[in-house]
Amino acid sequence: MRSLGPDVTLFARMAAFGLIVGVVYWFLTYEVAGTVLLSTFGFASAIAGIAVFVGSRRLRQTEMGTTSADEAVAMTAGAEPLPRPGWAPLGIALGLGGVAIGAAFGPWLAIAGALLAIRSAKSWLDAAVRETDETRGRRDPTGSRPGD
Amino acid sequence: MSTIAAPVHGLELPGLTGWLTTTDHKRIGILYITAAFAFFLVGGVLAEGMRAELAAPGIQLVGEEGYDQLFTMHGTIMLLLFGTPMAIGLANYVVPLQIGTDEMSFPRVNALSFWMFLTGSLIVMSSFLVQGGPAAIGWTGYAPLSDVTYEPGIGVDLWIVGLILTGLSAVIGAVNFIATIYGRRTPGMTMFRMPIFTWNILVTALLILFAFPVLTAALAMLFIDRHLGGTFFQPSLGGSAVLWQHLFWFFGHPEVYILILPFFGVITEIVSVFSRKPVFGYAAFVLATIAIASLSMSVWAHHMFTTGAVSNPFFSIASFAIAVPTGIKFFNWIATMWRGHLTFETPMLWAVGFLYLFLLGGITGIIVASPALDYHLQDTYFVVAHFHNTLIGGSVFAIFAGIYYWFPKMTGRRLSETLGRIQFALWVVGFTLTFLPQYELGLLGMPRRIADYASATGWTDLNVASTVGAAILGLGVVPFLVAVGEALRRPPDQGPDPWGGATLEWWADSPPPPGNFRDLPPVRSVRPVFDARLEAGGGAST
Repeated sequence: MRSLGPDVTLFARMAAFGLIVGVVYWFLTYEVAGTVLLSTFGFASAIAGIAVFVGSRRLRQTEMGTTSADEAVAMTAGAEPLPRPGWAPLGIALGLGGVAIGAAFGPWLAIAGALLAIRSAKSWLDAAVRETDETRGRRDPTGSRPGD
Repeated sequence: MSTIAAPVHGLELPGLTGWLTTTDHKRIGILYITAAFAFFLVGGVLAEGMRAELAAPGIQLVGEEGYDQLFTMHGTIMLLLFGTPMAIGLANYVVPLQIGTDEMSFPRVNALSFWMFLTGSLIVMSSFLVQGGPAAIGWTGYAPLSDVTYEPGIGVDLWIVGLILTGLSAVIGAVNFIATIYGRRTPGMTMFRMPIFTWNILVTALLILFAFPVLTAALAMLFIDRHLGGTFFQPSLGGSAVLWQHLFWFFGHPEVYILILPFFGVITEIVSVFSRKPVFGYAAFVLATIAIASLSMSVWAHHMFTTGAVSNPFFSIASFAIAVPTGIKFFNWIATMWRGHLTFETPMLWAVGFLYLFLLGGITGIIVASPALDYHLQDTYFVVAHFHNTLIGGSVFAIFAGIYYWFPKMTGRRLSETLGRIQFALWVVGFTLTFLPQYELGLLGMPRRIADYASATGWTDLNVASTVGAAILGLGVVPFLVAVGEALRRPPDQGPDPWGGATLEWWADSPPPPGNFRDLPPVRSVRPVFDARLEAGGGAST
């Protein structure tokens, strides 16, 4: 476990816990809801652990000279372009709020909310593309990535 | 010393527009903390209303339906609109600083998370304005009481959709924290050099990721039952009311740990700094946190012992088991203080108050984890006292500890020590007077969630004491508000490290500029700022 690194072992421990307890729970109780919830928790943890393991191995391969994935992560953090302030997050949240209360009060609020959320999401996407293009103009293209 | 390669930072806009459009983690953290504290005040007013109603037998103030609405909204607000977002707010401000980075992994998503939380919360609160008023189903929303047959009002619908939004907000916030902690640590900051607070936020984010979607799904199912002909929770139509309890508590018990693990982290930081010692048993702290989080996923049905539909021995043993890693933490806190150069500034006072009061909550938790005792105590005031011991004596005391501790970092100003001590004294006295009598009331058989009781029960004196205690607690908020107002009127005068801290947030200016750090010390241990001071030959006492 130690060779996997603490980030992966965290998920591995949770996955083992969820799966083992799920099995024990089933044979003790034969109760479906709890068994599904526990084993899903275990499987979800396992999937997350595998994703982190694969990601960190890829990172380690790209970071020559580092001794562990944990250190490789720490080496790559830092100067990257950050998004500018914008109205899009607030607009999407208000739009989703409209959709939510539309579910309680009627479809017109939901439609208005959905339109606002879509409009704001488009402005988010436009800003992200613009910032990425600007970054590519400033930097070596291989080193760029979107702000979000 | 390494100088940071300056990243490209978006310019913050001035004034209110700046706050509405910000993607800066520090501003978003302050927005979370401010909004959560505002909801705390509302939830507190509702609690005072309940205690006033119970001060004497008979219906005085709100009536039975109104009382049901009060405890429903009080519980919802305190757990989901105050406790959880307060943890997220503190984490938003502190975690990027502690891991030596300039921003969260996804700053716009971070802003979206806050605005979704606020929108969802305001939808929940707006139910006070609709005909019939807010939901009166308890924060647990048990079916079939929450079905449209028994609760036809639109308040329940607003409660459902508002909480779905806040739940989604918490999930995307959790993803952001996990990505940030995994992906943006400064060079040298390996996982086992991260501050304990950051570790606890990582584990809390994982719990949010596993627990909140279950609540969101359950709420969606409830909405379908209410309006779209579903029968998930209607036994007469083939559904199961117990299924709601399974789903709700599979979220609800991890939620209790979502509300306490971040604050375990706060207390660990404070105890170490004000003991002038490194944390005792760092690895044990981390492993205990992971153990608590894992076990918390397997104890949900101890809330359902009396349904007769769950395996009581299984859930009882799992619940007892949580006491072990929690006990390890207590041992380590005490060992950290042992032979330290202790000083008792306001944050440390709150931390010590936490240790004393949370311990009582933990011990009474072991009592109600026993099915035999729980059959006697279920749905009595003993349970109310128990969970307030953990959530006020634990979480809220730690929140105040954290605010007093990090306020200088956030604003460049310290909160008044005098007012902080007055507040602490009022809260210890008020809390004890409010909730110790409730243990006795529970043992005497007083059920929770009742607006009235007969004078012949003999419960009046204890209820009066509890109500007086609640009034003292309410009064105890005033010194804090005055201290904040007074501090914000002063010009900033605090340096980067007013307490002698050891983790990276104390390397940044107070308040930190955009980008957070001008330079960073090398990170070779869990206490990089302490190491840097030691190298420079000044101020390190241990």
